[in-house]
Amino acid sequence: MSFREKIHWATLVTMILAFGWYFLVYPWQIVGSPAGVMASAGMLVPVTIAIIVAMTAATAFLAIRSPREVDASEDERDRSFHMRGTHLGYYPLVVGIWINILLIFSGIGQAAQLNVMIATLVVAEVVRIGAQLYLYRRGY
Amino acid sequence: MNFREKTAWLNVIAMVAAYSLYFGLLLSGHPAGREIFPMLWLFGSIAVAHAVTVIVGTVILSAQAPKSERARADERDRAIRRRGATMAYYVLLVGMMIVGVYMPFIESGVPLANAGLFAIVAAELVNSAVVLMSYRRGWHG
Repeated sequence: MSFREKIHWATLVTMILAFGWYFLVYPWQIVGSPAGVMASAGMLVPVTIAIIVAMTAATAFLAIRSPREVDASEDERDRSFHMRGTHLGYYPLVVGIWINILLIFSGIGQAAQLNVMIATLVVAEVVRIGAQLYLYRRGY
Repeated sequence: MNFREKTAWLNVIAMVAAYSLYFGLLLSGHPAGREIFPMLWLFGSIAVAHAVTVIVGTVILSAQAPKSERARADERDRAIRRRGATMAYYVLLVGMMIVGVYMPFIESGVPLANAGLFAIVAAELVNSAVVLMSYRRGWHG
């Protein structure tokens, strides 16, 4: 498994764990109240810190284990996977923002809207990274 | 200029014309910037006009193009499409963070929806512009 593939795995697992925790622990009973926004803001701080710490640690660990691959620039295949994955991630992002616009008209609360937006970003990133990992695994 | 490059030009020109008009009207104080029904009416009319322009233009360009150019997208066409979407992804990601994470604290309702529409239009415009530039500059994937 190449260095880039390992980094993608680390990113995917970190995102799923961090945002999985966020959506599981979020106090959904107050999502309709102003306190829901503060809960989101408060919970996004540890999520962001956890992602930064986990990714820094994973990247440092992987870089120490495979120092020769760290400085290697992206080759043709990596760039192709990057574009294919990002192309696939673009569509959930567009659909998510349309859903958000429709929800604004339905009178959705601020906290609920924030959570829909966060969910959209997470889904788009998971699709983007997941597609790249699929291509690496498949040996395309 | 081949068929796909011409359609890329058509997309860029139609988008710039349609949404410059929409957002220009909003900036000049049109009620679509504040109220739901004027917004839906104006955006709906402009989006339909944009779609009809692109469809009719594509049909005309297709009728004029030789059959060989109308063949299915080849490897380069697909790579260019992916390149455009890749750039658009980052524009939309940033737009979404601004519209969805920052703006709900200072705006709500129609202005927020318009900001969301602007993010989508900006991303799609970047997508079309990158596709067009890739054809113009002979990018080959």
